[in-house]
Amino acid sequence: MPARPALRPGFLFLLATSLCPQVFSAVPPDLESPEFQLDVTALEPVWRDRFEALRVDEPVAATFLESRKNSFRKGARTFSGTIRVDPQRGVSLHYAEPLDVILVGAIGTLWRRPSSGEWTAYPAPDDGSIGDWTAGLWQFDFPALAKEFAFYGRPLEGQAWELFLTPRENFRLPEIHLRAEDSRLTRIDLELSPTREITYDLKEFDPSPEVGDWDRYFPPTPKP
Amino acid sequence: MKIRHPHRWVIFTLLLGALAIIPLRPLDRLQFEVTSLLPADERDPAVQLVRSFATQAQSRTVLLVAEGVPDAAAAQAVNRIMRAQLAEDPAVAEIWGLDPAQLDESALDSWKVHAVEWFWPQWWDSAGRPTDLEAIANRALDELETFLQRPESFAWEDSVTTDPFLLVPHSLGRLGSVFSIDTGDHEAGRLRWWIKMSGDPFDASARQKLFHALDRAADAVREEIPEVSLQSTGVAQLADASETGIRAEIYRLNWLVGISALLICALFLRRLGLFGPLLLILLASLTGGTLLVFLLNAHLHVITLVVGSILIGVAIDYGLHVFLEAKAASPVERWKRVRRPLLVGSLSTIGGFAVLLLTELPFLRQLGSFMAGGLLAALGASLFYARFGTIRETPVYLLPKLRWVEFPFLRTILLVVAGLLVCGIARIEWNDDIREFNLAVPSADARDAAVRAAFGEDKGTHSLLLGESWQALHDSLEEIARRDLEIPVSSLGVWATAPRLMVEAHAAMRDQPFASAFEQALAARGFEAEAFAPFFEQWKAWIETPLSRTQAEQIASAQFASLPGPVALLAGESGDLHWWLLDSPQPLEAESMADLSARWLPLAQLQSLNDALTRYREQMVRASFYGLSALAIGLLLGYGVRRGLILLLLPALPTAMSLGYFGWRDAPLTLFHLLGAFLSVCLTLDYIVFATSARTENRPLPVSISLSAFTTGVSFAWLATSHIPAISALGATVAMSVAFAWLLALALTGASSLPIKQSLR
Repeated sequence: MPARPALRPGFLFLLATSLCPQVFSAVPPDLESPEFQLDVTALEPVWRDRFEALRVDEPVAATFLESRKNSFRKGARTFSGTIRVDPQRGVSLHYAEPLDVILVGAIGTLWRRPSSGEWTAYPAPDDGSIGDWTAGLWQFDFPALAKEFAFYGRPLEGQAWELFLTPRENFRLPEIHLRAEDSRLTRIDLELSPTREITYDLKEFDPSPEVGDWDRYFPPTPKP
Repeated sequence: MKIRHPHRWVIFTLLLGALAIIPLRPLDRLQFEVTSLLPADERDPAVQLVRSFATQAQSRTVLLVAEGVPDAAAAQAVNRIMRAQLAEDPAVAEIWGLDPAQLDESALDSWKVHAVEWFWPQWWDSAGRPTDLEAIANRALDELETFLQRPESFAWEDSVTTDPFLLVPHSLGRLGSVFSIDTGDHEAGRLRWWIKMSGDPFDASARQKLFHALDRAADAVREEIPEVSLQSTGVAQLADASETGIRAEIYRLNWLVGISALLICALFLRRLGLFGPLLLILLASLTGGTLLVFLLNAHLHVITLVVGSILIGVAIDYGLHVFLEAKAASPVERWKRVRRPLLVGSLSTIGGFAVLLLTELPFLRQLGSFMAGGLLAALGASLFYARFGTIRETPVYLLPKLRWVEFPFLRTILLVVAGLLVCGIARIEWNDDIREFNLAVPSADARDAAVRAAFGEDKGTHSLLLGESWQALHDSLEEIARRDLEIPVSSLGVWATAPRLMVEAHAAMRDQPFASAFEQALAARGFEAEAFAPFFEQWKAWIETPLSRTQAEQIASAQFASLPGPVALLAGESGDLHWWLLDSPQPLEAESMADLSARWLPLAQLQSLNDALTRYREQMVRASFYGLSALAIGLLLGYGVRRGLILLLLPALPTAMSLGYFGWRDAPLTLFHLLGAFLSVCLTLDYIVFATSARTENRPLPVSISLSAFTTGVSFAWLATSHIPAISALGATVAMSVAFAWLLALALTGASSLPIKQSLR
């Protein structure tokens, strides 16, 4: 039985939807070839097993280190915290440093709660980049994702592998680069534009977290 | 001179009149909206504002609510369907779901482009209006770095290079302090949309297109999620219900009055041969009224047609006078006998309606011209029949004898009742409200209330600030703040930039090398200064463009015009009139809002237009005075001082009794009660004239007078059943006055005047 998947990147995708249109491709030239392109409707068994293992059916949690780079600032800004994924309620990012803030994404809306405060709705631009396919991310529904993205994947050393998702037509969507070790995601790169990038390094994966206090990490609004 | 076949001449003239009406395009000139009842050149700011509402976004707003949405997935589906159906429909200009994201997103584009010009002065003012460039730069970069430390700042990173001062997020925050969205819809199983229709809500075809679009959307939603119910309301829906109701009201009242008048004639006269001429006289009155009203007025409000139904009941009187009283040996003698009383009786009524042409209210002018034209035509036709018609003796059929009518008591009872009723005049209070013109449609009003409740009833109260400029409104807000009111007031003034501040900020920075200073500060803080080129371009464009107060006012207008969707309803301008909405948790006291740079107006006053209508009522009083003065002079000259005064005062008594009745009922009186009182005096004058003449000559009151009172009284009584309060008030006042006047006439002439005692004469 495969190990519990570490993370679903659905919410992180939503975080990236304040997008600049971008027409570049972050897929490495050597990967962007039919040899590495994946057809999600006809996956090889090894890729099918990898995708199956990523799907989250029970709550999971992990710590993360987020790094943001952009054109107007030298160097990167870093944030750290804990991510919690609940198939019923969505994804919650609890930022511990530098500020104690919890963020939860919903379609078109971002919910925010400071460490000791109430939930407030924060505008997330509804630029059309969030569509029906977004819901598929919560379930890691690859057929739904395949409508908007082309998949390129290849194995790396040992049990590691990487996956590139590149938008087919809607170039407001980001380029996504996933790295995983066997059935656990270890890194996610979101390239929003040639000048903006967000990277998540995932550590301390907890496949069976204690969910008794998870109510404080999710707003009362049900997830879309 | 003798004319053969006088009916043919009347019919021929009627046809000519009807043909003359066609090129006037009467159906195209009908109006239904309440605001068109008021003068187009009315300078009252409240009326001007209501007119602008009728033509701007306020009237094109449609509120739509879906209830019974079972879960979030269904909510998403419903939203998707509604947008797919309505966003591209030509009948819908805009559709906004009531969630913070959409409202904020739409404003961003124009705000980003104009951030420096629109919002930097406010930043500068809130920072204490610094002039030291290093202090300005450091303060801005401190705020920026603090902001970038917030995890959610990713959503704004695109804008940082254009807006390092975070002017747009600050502006959104200020807007959010004024206009917040209730985001509890999901829990309530409810979704809401604010829609702006493309067409004119007062145009029937535009309304139908909108309704079809909403119906299609509702069908599409129910096809997928059957348990969801949708309701909508707006000016379009209310106007449609009102127009439908008014049309039905017109048909109902006109048919009732016409049938009642003819039934009364049938009951008492029972001569089929009379119905032809009477019908022709009625048709002549309608034709004459329609012709004159469209010749003298550019438009006709349908309420005039509602009231105009009384024309039938009044015009038929002239025919009754001719056919019941015109018996004589020869047509010339008949003509001489009937013309004076007919002219005396009719001209007072026609004159009374003609006086309305002197008023400012278009509705009253239309009513006056319709009634005067109709009655003149009826008078002409009646006189024509009197001179050239073949008139046979007309038997008057009797009611069964009513033993309980013991006349000796009638005078005593009438005297006591009159005394009691007249005392009620001391209790009269006046209250004018434009909503008196509204036809109450319970189903539409209930739906409107339900949808508005779903949108959240305001727990506070609203009022308006009206001024000649945006700066006047800002000055008033400052004045209100200085008064330190116990009740807090919020408005878009906290979000908008005052024109004077724009000019002052521009003047303070115009000659300063701020761009280079800020560039150095950025580099010192570890930012890539060249990445902020978009901001420097905006700054350069702003600082190098001269800015006057007039230009600043235009910028302020553009700022308000950028407000999205429903937020745009909180402020506006129309010509020289600028306004925005004030919100307070409790009603503000008028004294605390007096003497401001701008005019303060409670929203209730806007809903009632009380001031404007009170002025019109005062005009009506003056017009009535002039009309009655002319009437008095005529009576004094025609009948002498003593009898003239009696003839003037006696018709006033039934009218006073009617008004006193309302006084005893503690019902506030309106302009239409006053109109009814004036018309009552004019209408009942001929009853009194004939009664005093009959008394002098010791003969009974002519039967035609009683029948005239019946038809007129019944006409106005039907009017009193109207669902439009103003029309009902008019009808009730006149109906009661006519009834009291007839009883007074009986009291003056004795029991022999009762139709039950009169027979063939």
